[in-house]
Formats: sequence, C-alpha cells, structure tokens
Amino acid sequence: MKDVARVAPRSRRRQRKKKKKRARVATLPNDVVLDILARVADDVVTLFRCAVSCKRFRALVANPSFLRRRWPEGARHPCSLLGFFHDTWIYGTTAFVPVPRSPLGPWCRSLGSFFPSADELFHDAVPLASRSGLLLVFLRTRPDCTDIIERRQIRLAVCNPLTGAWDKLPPLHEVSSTMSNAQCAILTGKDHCPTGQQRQKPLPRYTTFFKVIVIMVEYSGGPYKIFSFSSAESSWSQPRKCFEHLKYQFVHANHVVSRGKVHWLIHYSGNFCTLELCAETGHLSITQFSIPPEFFQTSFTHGPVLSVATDGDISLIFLHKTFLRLHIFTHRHGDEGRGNGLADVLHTEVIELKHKPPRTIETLYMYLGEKSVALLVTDRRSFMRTVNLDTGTIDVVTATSGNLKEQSVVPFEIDWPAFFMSSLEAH
Amino acid sequence: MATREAGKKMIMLKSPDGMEFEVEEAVAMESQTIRKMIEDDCADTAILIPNINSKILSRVIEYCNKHVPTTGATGAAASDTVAPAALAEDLKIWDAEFIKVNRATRFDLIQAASYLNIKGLLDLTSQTTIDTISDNSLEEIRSFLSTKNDYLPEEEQTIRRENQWAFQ
Repeated sequence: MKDVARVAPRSRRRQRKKKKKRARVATLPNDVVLDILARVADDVVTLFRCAVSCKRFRALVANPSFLRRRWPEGARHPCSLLGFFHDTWIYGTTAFVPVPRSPLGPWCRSLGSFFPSADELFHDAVPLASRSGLLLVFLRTRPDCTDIIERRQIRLAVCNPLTGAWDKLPPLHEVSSTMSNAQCAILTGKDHCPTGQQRQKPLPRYTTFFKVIVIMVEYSGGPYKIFSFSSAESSWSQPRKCFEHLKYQFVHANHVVSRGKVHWLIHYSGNFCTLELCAETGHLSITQFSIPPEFFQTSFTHGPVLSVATDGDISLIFLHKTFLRLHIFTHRHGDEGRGNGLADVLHTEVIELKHKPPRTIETLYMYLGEKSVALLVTDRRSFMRTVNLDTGTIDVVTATSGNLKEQSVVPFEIDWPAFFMSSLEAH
Repeated sequence: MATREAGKKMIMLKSPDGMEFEVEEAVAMESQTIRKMIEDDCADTAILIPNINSKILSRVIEYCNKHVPTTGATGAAASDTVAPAALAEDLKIWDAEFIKVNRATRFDLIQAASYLNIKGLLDLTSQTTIDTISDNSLEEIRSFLSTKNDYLPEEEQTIRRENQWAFQ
C-alpha cells in the first residue's frame, strides 16, 4: 500500500499520521459503522472479532436492534447450524463434524477438545440433545468402574462448546434402564419463558438456566416415565408416568421445541403423532397428523422428521426416495390441543431438490436443525448431506469422521443474536 | 472541472479548503443530501460541503459522474435491471479500479458517502472494507478498521479465553 511505503524515514511524522487516521475512523457516525458491520454477519467469526476490537464497536454490536436487523426473527438462518455431534464406534471419541462453511472451521474434532479444562469428563460422553448452543450429554460409566451404585446411576451434563462451560447434573439414581431407549430434550430460559418476564435464574452452582427432560422406561416392559431437571432447582423431579410401553413408539431422536413445548414424534398403529409436553406446566397431550392415506403409496425413504416452521407451527418432512423432492405437512396453528387430539393438516408443500444425487444414495437417517434451513441426511456409507429447505440446494458434508453411529447424531445450532448479547454483555 | 453543456443545469459545489466544482445537477443529485437541498430550494449559487476536502470531493464527483446514467429516476443505486448487462459489468470493473485506494482515503470516502447519502458509493466502500477484514486476525482487523484497542490486557485475555471459537 502507498502509505506503508512512504512512512519509513520519520517516525514522529508516522505517529502523527497514525493519530490522524484513528481520529478519522472514530468520527464515522455510529449508523455508518453499523452499516459496515451489518455486512459481516454471515461471517460470524469476523463479526465477533470486529465486535471485540474496541469497546465502542462492542456496544454497537451488543444491541438487540442491530442483531435483529442482521438475523430477522421469523426467518431461518443457514449460519445457525454449526455442525453435528455424533457418537462413534471408537471408545472415547464423540466427534464434532462441521457443516460446509461452519464458523467453527472445516475440521472434525472431538467433543473433549471444546473443553480443555474438563480433564476427561467428556471423553466418553454421548450427545443426546441440543438447543441454542447447549448440548446435553450422557456421561457413560467407564468400563473399568467397579462401584455398583455408580454403575446404576445415569449421569448427564449440559455443556456449551462455544464458551467451554459445562454443568454436571445430579445423577438419576436407581434406574435400571440404560439410556439407549431414552428420549431427551433440553430447553433454555427463552423456551421456558418466551415473553422474557420473570426469567428463571439458575442456582449459583450452575452457569446458565436450562431444563432437561428425559422420557424412558425404568425397567424392561415398564411404562414410559418423564424425569425433569431444571438448573433453578437442586434435584430431579419425581418421575411421572407418560404412557404404557408399546402403546406408542417413539421415532428415535426426533423432537423439536416450539412455543415452550417439546414435541416428540411418535408412531401409533400406522399413524404419525406428536407427544407434546409443556415445559412450564408439565401438561401432556398427543396430536395426530392426519396425512391422507394415499400419500403413503408413494415411496419415501426412512421415516419423516419433525420440523418447526418459521412461525412456530409444527411440520412433518418426508424425503422422496429418489432424493428429488421433499413433502412437508404443517399443522395449522391453534389446532393442536383443540381437545380431539387431531390436527388438520392444512398446508402441504413440495420442495424440488436442485441436485441429482448419485445412484448409491440411500437415506437412512434425517436430522433437522430448527433455526437453520438444513436437513442432514446420512446414507448407508455414512455420507452426510445438508439440504437447504428454503432453496432446495444440497451440500455434501466433506468433513466426515467415519465411524458414525447414526442414531446418535445431534445437530448443533446456535441462536446467534442471543449468543452475541450474552457473550458481549459479559465484557 | 466540468464544462457547461447546453441545456444542462449546473451546480457549484464548494469544499471547505476553498475549491469549487461545477457539476451537472443530475450528477450532484446522486447524493440524496444535495438532492434534498436542491428540492427544498436551499441551494442558490453554490453548495458548501463541510468536512469533505477537495481531494475526496473530486473523487466522489468522479464516482457520481460515472454512475449517473445508469441510475433510475428516483436516485436509487445503480440497478442491473436498468442497465444492459455489459454496461453493468463495465461499471463493476470501473468500481473495482476506483476503490483501489489506501485505507485512509477509503474511510474518507465512506464518511463522504454517508454524509452525502450516496448509497452505491457507501455500499462499495463498506463492502470493500468488509472484504479486506474477513478471515483476518483481531490485530489485523483493528489495524484495518483503525480502531484502538481500549481493553486492558487482562480484559482481552478473558475475552479470548471465553470465546476460543472465534480465535482459533
């Protein structure tokens, strides 16, 4: 650059010049600085670095109206999906696989690498559920553990891979079941109290407010029971009966959170239903998707996945066997909980995918991010693809770690405006 | 200096360092600020543009001169749908050359574009700034944005420790 070449001889002059330059940028009005910074937002790492470059920029970025301007509410944002965590067949390696253009870089890494100070706590942790940057994990008992009580305990932890913070939950005692058939969900303060009023505070020993819900059978053939824990309380709730074992079947690891309720996809005599649990009141309900029977004559791979539309309505997404289109059925808002347990499926949408897949593709599992537009699809050879629900484009996830245990895949998403607010306000 | 052409209304722009620029009204009206002045009849013989020196003002005029024919009647930014593709491509190349300036000049241009409210120029200068800083380290970003690090060393350490994801 021109000015770099010219400055060498006189250092005093250089200093004066530097001062002058700084004064110049300091006079850029706030709205101009914001206008510049608003253009960085999809490159989240750069935006964050800009925000912490000086206190003035930090205050400008840590402002809800700026953050909402770049990440409008009621829209999906591709950069919300950072990647996914999954258990592997190799002992002690839960992997993080970034999606293309992830702010966390292009490389696979272990879960433990996010928590360098946690010693080996996350060494053999199994990812269970994730929400807004928080990840719920099951801390597997080490194979060499001889303590009978410890072997019977279910130990869970909630961690935040971006900040490196974690909270261990009190163990769930006297549960003879393993976690293999458990359905879990994690909720944040925002889910629990969407209006923001009377926001729950965590007990001092926890880093943040969260609520964990586990549904599992206590013994083989027993009924499904609900266990819940919140970081505002010191212990797990008394288990409540959910429904008889075998009456309904959970479609594995398929739940979404919307309007303060957790929705699990369940299967009952050929119908798809959602089991809804209100996080605040604990109220349970079941709503059936009334999908036209003729629809099932078409060929679809794998079961459908639940999704939340941008307005909070619950959808069911089917991927056509040819990998050429998606069918989306959306519950009409307000119909769930009308009392008859039936939701009118009002809205049907078909998305044509813009990519001809290779012949070998065979979808085994689909996982959906809630805030982003991506649907993760994995086939028999552990190849992952993301499908953009807004545009129908498909990206191949190149950073695969191999050894993927399909049932353990947890998409990892973040609510960037909330994240920026909390991490910038702290400084 | 612009020369007077028959039938075209000219406007005199003055920089604080005493230079005068005679430009076509249509060119000057690329700036929403000047447009408002003209429309409100606040501009008589000459318009003084405060805070923008002659060097920067002449560059701004150069930009407006180049962009005036492809601009719609409302004065919105150059639109690809109005101009033929080739012309738009040509403008893009011209813009890329135009913005090859040092950092200080670019910030002056941003400030001028902001004050004069010239959307196309503001887009160009801001986007160029962002393109230069993306994927740069915090130190490089500070240097490119010419911001002064006003954090104490221990404060900065905490930020880096608590946000390792952004500093890898």
